[in-house]
Amino acid sequence: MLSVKIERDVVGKYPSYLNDESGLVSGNADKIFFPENENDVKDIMKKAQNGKIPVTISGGGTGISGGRVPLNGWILATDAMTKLDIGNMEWTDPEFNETFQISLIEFNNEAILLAPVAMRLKSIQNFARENGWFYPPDPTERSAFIGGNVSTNASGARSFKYGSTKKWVVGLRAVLPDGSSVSLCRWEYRDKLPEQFFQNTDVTITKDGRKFIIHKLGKEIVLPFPTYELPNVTKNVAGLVWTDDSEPLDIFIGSNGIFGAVTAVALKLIRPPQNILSILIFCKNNIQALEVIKLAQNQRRTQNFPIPMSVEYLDDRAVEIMHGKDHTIPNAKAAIILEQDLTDDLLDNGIEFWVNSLDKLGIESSSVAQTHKEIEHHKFLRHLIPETINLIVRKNGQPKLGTDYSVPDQYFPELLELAKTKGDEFESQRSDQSRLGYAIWAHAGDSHLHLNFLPATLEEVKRAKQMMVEIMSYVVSVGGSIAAEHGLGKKKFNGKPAIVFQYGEKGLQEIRNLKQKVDPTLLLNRGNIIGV
Amino acid sequence: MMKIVVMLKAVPDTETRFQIREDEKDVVYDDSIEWIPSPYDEYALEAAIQTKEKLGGTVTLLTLGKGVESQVIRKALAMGADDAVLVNNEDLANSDPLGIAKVLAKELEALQPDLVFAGRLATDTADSFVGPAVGELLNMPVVAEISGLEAEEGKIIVTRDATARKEKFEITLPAIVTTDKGLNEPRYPKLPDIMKAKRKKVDEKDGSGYLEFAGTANRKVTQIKVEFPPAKKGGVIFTGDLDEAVEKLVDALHNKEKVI
Repeated sequence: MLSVKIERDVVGKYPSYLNDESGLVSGNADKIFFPENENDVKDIMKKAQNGKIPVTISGGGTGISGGRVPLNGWILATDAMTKLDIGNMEWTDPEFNETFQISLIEFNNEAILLAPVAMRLKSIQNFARENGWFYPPDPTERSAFIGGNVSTNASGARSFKYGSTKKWVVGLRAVLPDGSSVSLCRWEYRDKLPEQFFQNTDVTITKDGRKFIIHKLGKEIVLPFPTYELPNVTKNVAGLVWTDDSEPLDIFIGSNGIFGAVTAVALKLIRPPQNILSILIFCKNNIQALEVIKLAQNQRRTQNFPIPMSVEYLDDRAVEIMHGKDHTIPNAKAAIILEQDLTDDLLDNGIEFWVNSLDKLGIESSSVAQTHKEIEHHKFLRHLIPETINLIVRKNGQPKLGTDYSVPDQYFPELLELAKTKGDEFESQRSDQSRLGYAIWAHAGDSHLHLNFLPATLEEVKRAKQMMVEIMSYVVSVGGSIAAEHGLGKKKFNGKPAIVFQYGEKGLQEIRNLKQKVDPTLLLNRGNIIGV
Repeated sequence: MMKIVVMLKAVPDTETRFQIREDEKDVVYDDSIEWIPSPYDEYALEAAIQTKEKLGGTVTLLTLGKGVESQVIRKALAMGADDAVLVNNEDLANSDPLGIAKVLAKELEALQPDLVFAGRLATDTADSFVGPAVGELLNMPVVAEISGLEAEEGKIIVTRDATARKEKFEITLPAIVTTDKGLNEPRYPKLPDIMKAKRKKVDEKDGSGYLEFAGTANRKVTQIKVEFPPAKKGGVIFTGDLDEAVEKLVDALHNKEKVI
């Protein structure tokens, strides 16, 4: 007998769990479970395995690639997983009035936060700030669960300087499809995590060259690295992104839950920057914007001071959305949001660098936020863009079709040009010309662009999808990624899992083989990445 | 050419979670606090800059400080103020509202402004006293809590939101007004202006001459205790499936709270 909360009428009582924010696919499920801890998760997984019932893990529901959408069977909703058994402190987030049981292990210049999977990203940031620490990853959707962030290896704006979630996960616990648990950490954190973090596990996972090996009861499951070539970009979560530096815990980071359910995470925190400037730069045209992007990329490539935390591009449509809410924002042709962190002693040097650089580029208009409250306001304005777009999407009654493509830096101007051309073409072919047809924003520092089509009819959906396939072919041809940060989830094009467009049929088969070794009857998170 | 002065106060970020000092007489002000311009003073500053942009003149900041104000002043200079007077004296800054008003009145006397703006209250002490008191001490007309402003040579026309109506006043200058939300949208500084602000003049003085009549030794109002309000009672969460939960909620609203 399971002791967790179960509900049988999912369609009637928990319909939101049949979807996420993608509006891509609507799922179906017979039961929804609300486990509170890892043991509950193990019980559910074992029961599902015995009955050969598909299980889909659900996080905060903020995903936009359909990852948590169930394709029949059971939903394992992690909402109640707010308390870690091994946590030694309770903390209440005043913003959401939610209480978490967590642990904070502090060292001189870094700390480790042991967090339950249902802790929201914003809560993690709030907790860190309240305790004098800083969690650098900053995906735009801050109500996401950290469990979901790990499963999708979420990134967002500040990954320009700080990398994606993966870089900040130093340990995790997970439950495999057969219900066995595992605890893993990065090698150098072995002695920094508490002993309890590693207790009560059923399997171990090791790495041998380009192979991961799962050891269970004397048996070994060998998972050789896929042989496909990874895109040559700074942001990529397409399929399994295993590299020579990968460690066993990376099996579960960014793999859309196909190998197991994450039940606890250990995150690295650092000291907060002494100063952060959020600089909104208003450009007369795209050429100016591209110059700023190129300059920031150069700073990063040459590791010269100052390297911004984030470099975001917004097209005129996105700027107009912000202007609607805050009239101090001018209606510019394009805008860049640049976040620059600076120590006290280099504050003036850093500011001077950007003053001089923008001056040379002929950029006159900017807005600088310096206090926490002002920076939050900039973030609010930035987040307003996808929020407003999503409102339009809901009104249109058709899914948003957004690209999540990144390319090698030198191709970014071409990609932006192509996106704009396709957007204009799409817009000009619509019956109702008054509706907004598309908007572009980009994590431009990482040469990563979101072109968002806003179709209102099935015909328009079809046309937008066709255009996305065309842009996708371009992206792959120049060595880019078709899934820079959202994950592939259940995305399909022309009836094929999107992964095929990145790594070909052979790549799909390789991932499918690996999945089958861990989950022979393909019960866990069905449909993600490999389509079945 | 208008000579405009903005009375500017640095306050802890409005989201600060304060700790109470051991002697319970005040909250703890330590390094963890981020000091910001009092939000109502930002409306005052924006109004001052807009007035200057329209009629010409200068905007001078006037701050009575306790050593934490430099960033806030620099930001206000970057927004568009021309210079600043900073009376940096912890004892004066910790005086009672009348003592503080006396210091600011003395400084204003020397500055000879045509028009003075101040926020309708500082978000830390929330006295709503200092602006009007300064006007009284200087025998200058005061209109408090304005939400609209038209400035002309020699006079201003201001709007104030009263209960269920808007009032309009014409004021002959020199005058003091305190500013309310809705007056304007304070601008963010432009990047080059942050550097230029560094070169603007901040006339810093120790104000020791004011101690004999405005320091803490003279104060008639002394804060003797700070406590947090009782914790709000937590909300009630109705559980069960949708029908059950709704039934319980309706029952509670109808029979217990008697609101429906």
